[in-house]
Amino acid sequence: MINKQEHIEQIIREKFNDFAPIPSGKVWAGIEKDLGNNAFSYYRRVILLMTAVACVAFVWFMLQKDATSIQTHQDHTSFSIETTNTAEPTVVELPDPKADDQIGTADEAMVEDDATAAVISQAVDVKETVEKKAVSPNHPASLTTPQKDVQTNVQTKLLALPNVYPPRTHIFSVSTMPARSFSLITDFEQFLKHSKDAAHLNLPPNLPEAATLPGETSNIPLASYLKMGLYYSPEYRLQQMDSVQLSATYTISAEPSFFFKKHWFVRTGLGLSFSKDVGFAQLDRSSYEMLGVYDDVYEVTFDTSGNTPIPIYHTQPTEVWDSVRKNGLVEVTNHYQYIQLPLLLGAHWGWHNFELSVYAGPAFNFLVGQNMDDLSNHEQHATVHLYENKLPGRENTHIQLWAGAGIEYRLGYRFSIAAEPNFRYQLSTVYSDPDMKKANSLFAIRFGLIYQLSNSR
Amino acid sequence: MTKMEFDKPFIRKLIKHDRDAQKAFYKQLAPKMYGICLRFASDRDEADDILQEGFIRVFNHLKDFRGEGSLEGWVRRTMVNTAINIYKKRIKKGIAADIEKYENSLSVKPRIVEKISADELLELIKELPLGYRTIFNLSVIDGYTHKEIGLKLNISENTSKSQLSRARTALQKKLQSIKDKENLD
Repeated sequence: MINKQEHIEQIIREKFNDFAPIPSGKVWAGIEKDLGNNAFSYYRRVILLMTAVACVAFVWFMLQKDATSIQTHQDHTSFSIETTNTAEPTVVELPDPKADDQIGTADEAMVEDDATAAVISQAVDVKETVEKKAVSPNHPASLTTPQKDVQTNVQTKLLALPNVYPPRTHIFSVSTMPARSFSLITDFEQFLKHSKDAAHLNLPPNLPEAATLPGETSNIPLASYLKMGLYYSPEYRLQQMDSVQLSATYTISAEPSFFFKKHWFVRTGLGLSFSKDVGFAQLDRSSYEMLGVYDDVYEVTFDTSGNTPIPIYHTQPTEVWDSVRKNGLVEVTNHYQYIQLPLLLGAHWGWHNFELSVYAGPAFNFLVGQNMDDLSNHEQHATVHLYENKLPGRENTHIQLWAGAGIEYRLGYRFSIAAEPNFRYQLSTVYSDPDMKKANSLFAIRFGLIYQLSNSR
Repeated sequence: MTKMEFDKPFIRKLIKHDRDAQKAFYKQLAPKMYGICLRFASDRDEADDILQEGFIRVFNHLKDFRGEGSLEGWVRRTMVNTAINIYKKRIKKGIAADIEKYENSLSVKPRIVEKISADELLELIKELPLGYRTIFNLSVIDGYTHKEIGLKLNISENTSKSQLSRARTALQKKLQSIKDKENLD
């Protein structure tokens, strides 16, 4: 009876050894709810990043408000030009721009190191001042001014062309410090345009025309022109996926933009994206392992020196090895590389040194490379029975729809920097796994360095 | 028998409450643990509760796992303890079924047990009264000694032994009825 009972119980135990029914989905939902969401979601990270960028931009902008801007300068429809009652215009030599007591304010024009020119200044008032109207390059008065005033007018023209060489506070300068010492872009531009004589000034031949006369805020030229931007863009997914940690995608791209009809532009380009998925793989393997050591008797001898023979056991340590089967999860990372081709249409508006824009359009992504983690060989002398990378595979192409805004700041004549937060909607799925075919959305923030190429008419 | 193993970086992620690691861990172990819960529970809903509460305890107390023995074994013990806690709550509420009608005993042959599936066996075990079922699971399937069962359930060793004896008898009666039904058919 007892033996039979034990036998029955042995059978019962064996039946339940491999008994593994699937629980309902609500169990995990309940576990997740109870554990709570300790980690920041991607969405929260994105909001935090946007807020941080906005705060930094706001603080920086508020600091710049103390400096006199082009707008302040342009608002003045007249300048005080210091002159004397002589036949020739008086040329006032500028003090050494590198002197410590020199203050780089927007009232002073940017001039070459060894050039002398008339100073347009509201502060200096040594002799009688004559108010003259602001002169724009196309002002009719400048064409009919008598010869002796030409030089003045030329100089005036130079200094009153805010779009050419506007006095400004640069990103690296603070209003109370010498702007030139910190203005790397301005120094570079000065190096390119080094000249003493206004007539031989190496001004760009295809200088964009001011859209308006001084006094107005817009500085966007009417002519069409090209810009080339180099962008760096981290992109974050706004939804979570089961058992897959969706890491951010990083893209570097070169994107030309063609501006036309005052407010419009089209942009395309070529980018290289780097993406990765982190998850788990199941690894079922048998490895040959040493379980222990024992002393094995290889010989027995007898000591017969005494009356009683005494056996002597000669031993040697012997290792015990056996195959141990293990089944578990290991972390794996799959890496992907894409070529990205955006096709965007947008509109832009200028405001002081800033240019604000909005844009939208599709972006095509082509998978050009992938590296899948294969940890099946990560343990030496192991026999792998099953290696299954649980991460889903990716499609060869996918399309996104972008919508974003941008803020661009002019550093110098041709260079500017930009920040563009944008929202991206996945028009086609990234993953080939049917369970992962969910439409999801992303957030990206692009940082760009932009160079204005010569315009075209 | 295959051993379920998890490497140290993975366990560290679990301790840090990495949600992806927790979900992968749950997916790997939940079916086996659910089998344990079904043996202790009266129905699937109760089994779901045991499984849910068990895994919550696992994730919250994983830092207490010292690496002695396998992680799967530690999770298994946690699941059994969770089932026992729920059993105690039911005892306190007086939900334990009347066991007197299961006093009679009959013998069955092992080949009858061999023929039935695990699901059918599970149904038979679930029909046992709560106390019999719990002790039968702990002793016969999970391998606890009567002393250990006594400590867990706050009962004496003798009580555990007598309850097991009655559980065996009750189960044999059910198996016999299955055999009789097959003979009639």
